[in-house]
Amino acid sequence: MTNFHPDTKWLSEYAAGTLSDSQALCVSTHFAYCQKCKQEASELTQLGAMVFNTQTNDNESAPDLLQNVLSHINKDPGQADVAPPQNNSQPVTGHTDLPTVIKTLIPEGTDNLSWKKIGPQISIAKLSNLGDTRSVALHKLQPGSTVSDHDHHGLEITVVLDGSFSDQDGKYFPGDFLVRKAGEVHSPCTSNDEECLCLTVCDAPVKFTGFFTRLLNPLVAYQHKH
Amino acid sequence: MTLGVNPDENQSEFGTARTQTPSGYSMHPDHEKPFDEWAETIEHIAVNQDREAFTRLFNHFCPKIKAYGMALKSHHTSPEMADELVQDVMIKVWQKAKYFNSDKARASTWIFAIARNCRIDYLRKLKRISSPLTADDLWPVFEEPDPVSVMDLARSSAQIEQVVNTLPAEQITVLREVYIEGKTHAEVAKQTGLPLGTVKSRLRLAMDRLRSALPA
Repeated sequence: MTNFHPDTKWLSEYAAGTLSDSQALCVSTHFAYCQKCKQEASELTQLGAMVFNTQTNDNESAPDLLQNVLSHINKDPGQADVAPPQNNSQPVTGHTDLPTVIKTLIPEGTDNLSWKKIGPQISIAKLSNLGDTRSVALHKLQPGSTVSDHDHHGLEITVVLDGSFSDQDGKYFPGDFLVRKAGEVHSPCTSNDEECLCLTVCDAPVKFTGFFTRLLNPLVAYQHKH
Repeated sequence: MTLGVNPDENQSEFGTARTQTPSGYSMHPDHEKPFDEWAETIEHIAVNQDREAFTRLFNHFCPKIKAYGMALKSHHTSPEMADELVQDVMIKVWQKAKYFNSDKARASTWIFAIARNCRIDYLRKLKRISSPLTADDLWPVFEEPDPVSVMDLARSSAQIEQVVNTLPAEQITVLREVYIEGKTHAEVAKQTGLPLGTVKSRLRLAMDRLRSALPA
């Protein structure tokens, strides 16, 4: 197997809006590379809408709410546009071909993040936490590196953003979505000619206890197949 | 997975910016039942800023959005929150109407997605959670669609409407818990005593039924 995807549980929880922010980030990032999963999520959203549509308490009218809304749109009739102007002072360098949601999260670009070396061939840039307690980070593996066998605590999600890596279960390319649970040990390695950039989200609370050990466990994989 | 797709091209589930008047549009109230009359209404609002049409749309969806707000299993749930949700959602519908495209989404799916995102953002506000990404960043609704994902939904709208009536009660119950009450699969399993796999398989069965009504 070379391609790994979030399964129906992940996609339906995404469509229902019950995934945590950081998990939704991983799924949403995967969609930038995977039309099939995006389509499935869109169908799963229709499934939710179907139930949404059957909810009935039709007798209840809400003239006051309508008046509030009408007076709001009368004050602001312009159907405001999205797309806020981008004003990045720093030039964006590094990996530029990234999904929109990642670019929104790191408008400064990957090179301007604060990277820390956590091993001879592996670096981490911690990103700001989203609306939950999971820690969000980018990991960079140098070409030709091998991360030694490792285990980890809690659930970890990895989405490959650039390059590739492999472990005993397969080879992973941009967009591949991997989840590894506690107790699942593996040792990822990269090919000799390109570095690998990954988004990782892990359950462990953002505390610096066991910092070093935990950060050596970035590339964790458990395949979720269709 | 497709390699080599430019990830920047889009992130959107539905909709696209619409600037031109949809051709052949008719807003006659006794218009013979269109495939998705609310889709036409939203497109009409986008072009004409018609407050009367908006009022009809409001009166139809307000009870559904309110029920969606009240159904959330959270100690934050209250009639006030549900009323706020109705207002947030309908203001957004007005502001973003031009991003709606009936070729890509049904009106109710689009409004459900907006309500979902508003409910997520509203809960964050109540819980005083700050995040660099909004629900619309993580669950995009308003951006450019993928040309590949074009589905002629309007044509099969009537069949989709019927699907829900054909589902067994046990599937409807799971759908309601997952989508409307905002429970994770694990929470549904724990509260109902069903195995986790059963929750997922009921959802899949309902999905298969829906797919059979979707255009190939």
